[in-house]
Amino acid sequence: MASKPQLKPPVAPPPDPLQAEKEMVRALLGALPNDFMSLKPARRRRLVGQCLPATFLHVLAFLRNEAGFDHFNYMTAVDLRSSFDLVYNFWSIQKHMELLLKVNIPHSQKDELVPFSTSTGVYPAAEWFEREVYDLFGIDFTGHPDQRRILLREDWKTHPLRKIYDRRGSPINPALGAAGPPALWRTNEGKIALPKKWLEEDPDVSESVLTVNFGPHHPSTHGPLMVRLRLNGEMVYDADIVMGYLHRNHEKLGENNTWIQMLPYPDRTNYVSPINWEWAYVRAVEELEGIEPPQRAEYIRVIMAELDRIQSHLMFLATSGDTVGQLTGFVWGLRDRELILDLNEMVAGARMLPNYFRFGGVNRDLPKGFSERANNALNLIESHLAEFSAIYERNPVFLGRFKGVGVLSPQNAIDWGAVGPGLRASGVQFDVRRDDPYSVYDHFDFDVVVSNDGDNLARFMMRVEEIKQSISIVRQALHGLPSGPYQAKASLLSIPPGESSSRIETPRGEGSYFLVSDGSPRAVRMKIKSAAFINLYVAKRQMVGEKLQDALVILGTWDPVLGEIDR
Amino acid sequence: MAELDDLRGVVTVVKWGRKNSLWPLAFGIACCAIELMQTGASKTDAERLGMLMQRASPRQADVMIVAGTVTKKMAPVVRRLYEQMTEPKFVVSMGACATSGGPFRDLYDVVDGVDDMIPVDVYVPGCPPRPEALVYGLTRIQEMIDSYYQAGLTPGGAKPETAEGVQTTA
Repeated sequence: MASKPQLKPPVAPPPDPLQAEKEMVRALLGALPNDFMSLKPARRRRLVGQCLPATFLHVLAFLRNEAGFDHFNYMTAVDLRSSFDLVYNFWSIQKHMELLLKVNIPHSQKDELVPFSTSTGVYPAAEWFEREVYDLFGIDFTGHPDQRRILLREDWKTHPLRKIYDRRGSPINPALGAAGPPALWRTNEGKIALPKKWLEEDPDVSESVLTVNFGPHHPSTHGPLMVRLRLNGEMVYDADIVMGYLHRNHEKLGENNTWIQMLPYPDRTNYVSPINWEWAYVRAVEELEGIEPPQRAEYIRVIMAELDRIQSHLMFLATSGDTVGQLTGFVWGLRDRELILDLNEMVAGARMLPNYFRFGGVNRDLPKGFSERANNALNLIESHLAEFSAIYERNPVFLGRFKGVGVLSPQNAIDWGAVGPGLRASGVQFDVRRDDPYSVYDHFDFDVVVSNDGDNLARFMMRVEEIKQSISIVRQALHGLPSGPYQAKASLLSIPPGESSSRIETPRGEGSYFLVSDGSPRAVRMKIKSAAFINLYVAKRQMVGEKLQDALVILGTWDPVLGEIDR
Repeated sequence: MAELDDLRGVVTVVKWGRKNSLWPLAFGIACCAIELMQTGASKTDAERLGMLMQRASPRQADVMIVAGTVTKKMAPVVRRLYEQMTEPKFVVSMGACATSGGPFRDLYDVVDGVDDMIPVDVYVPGCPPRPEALVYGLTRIQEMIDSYYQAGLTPGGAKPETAEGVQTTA
């Protein structure tokens, strides 16, 4: 039977996918015609530009106050041997646009401090990032409120991420750099400098306050982390955080290992949510190569990443019970987490650090019977959530420590750079999965959970609700899992030159890898933007003015993982 | 002779107690600490074997499980915690990083094996080791306590006081 020819609707010209980006570029160049050396859209929702060092602070102030780039993602440096590229990354929460801005400053080859102006006056969130760049690259940010080493020991003299040093920290050419680590590191703990503010304090004030040290070995700090609190009676007058006890430097390793050799390391960057971090690395390399994984691989990735989010949040439920002395919740959280570790083992062969993702796909296909087993595990976890609520959010003792304590306003959350569930608990709608969708997240129906309370309980409940959303996403993905190949053809060694920056919503917030490639088998620079790092900064700012016993609960609600903070 | 027999009974009880109530220091550094927690959780439940009742203070502990990468910033802390523990004391090096630096060997801030600073009794391989592997490592410590007593030695006396070539804190 011949079918009737259908009438075609008139073809409208396809809308320009980069229209909003081009408008933004026009607006920025119109307002600041002489400050940018280049500015162009790199892809949807991302602009890449370079500006002049002389008027840099002027540009920053305009970006924040006029152009709406209110969220400071990260800043870092790239050593190009005779000059530094300082890389700044901003996100506009209202306009859903990312801006990657570069400034080039020259340096002599020798290991000497290079001065540059600080951006902490415009973006307070830059404080720790600039300390890190000072520590590892030796850039002296003039006007920085508290510039001292953040990751390395105080008695370290060199800046080991510079290209003149090898991976052991020794200078490749002894004429250019100093000797490596201090000789007495085995027994000498070295001096840990006090914040500049504490040293310049009025003697009357420093007489009346008491300094309390926690850590680096303390059960409540979630790893080797040192917290120093100055107490005025029971109230925290000022706080300081000493990190770097787990600083192994994946970033230097990235410059010394080949691309494929780096695959197991994202697991160890954040060992509580390894798969999400694998995804961040793999996506950044895929962006450099320009390959798209097949649909089945993307679905498998979503399934594994959401299972990973569930087990990471279960770990959070467990440890927040531990923080307030609720050991039942601790054991229950770990018990349910085992179900997902078993699924990891079934799929990838390893329980905790699965090393499952590959460039362009995944290591192997889902095994037989995975779907039933995953569904059983999810049903069990879902039914256990009700039990959790009986010992947590319906428990008056727990509520006393969590409800109304540690309130963070939305403005402070944005200014201090918070990401992830902590930011959403303060009422700011930002989830990378929805606002800058990657992979196939736009195929699924899920809610971005937001609360307006901003207190400890809101941050806690955010995780519980996200577990429910993740369970729903995994079920949808298992239901609609397409058939086909699970691996695209991808090059393992020859990665084309260029730059890329991936954005993944990890369980702690936005995590990204910033990669610079020159076409050789190793990266020129591999920057890991850690969500827990900036959330710890928010926790530190938030502790001030709270009671001593609440300070560590606040720290716990930001879910710190020291592997990710110190990298 | 009766008195000596009584004493022998005391030694047996001390040995039995020491062997079956290992009190490790709750000392997680990195990834392995998560598996250490899982070892104590309900699936493996190493506490039923009398080996994983973790203490927060080194003065109450007799086993140190070094669970993770030791960095040069952390090294003196590990050393001091070891010195604060009471004799007899044992050290388990859990995972590749604590044993040899593992995947992070030859990096500027990483110690290539914790035995650079403190004497290690048992090395548990893996990255990270499974809970079963850690339990096996702790059983080896129990066997070690047994064999010390059988050889007529006390565990504390037979071990070197300080690691070779290590300066003590001034």
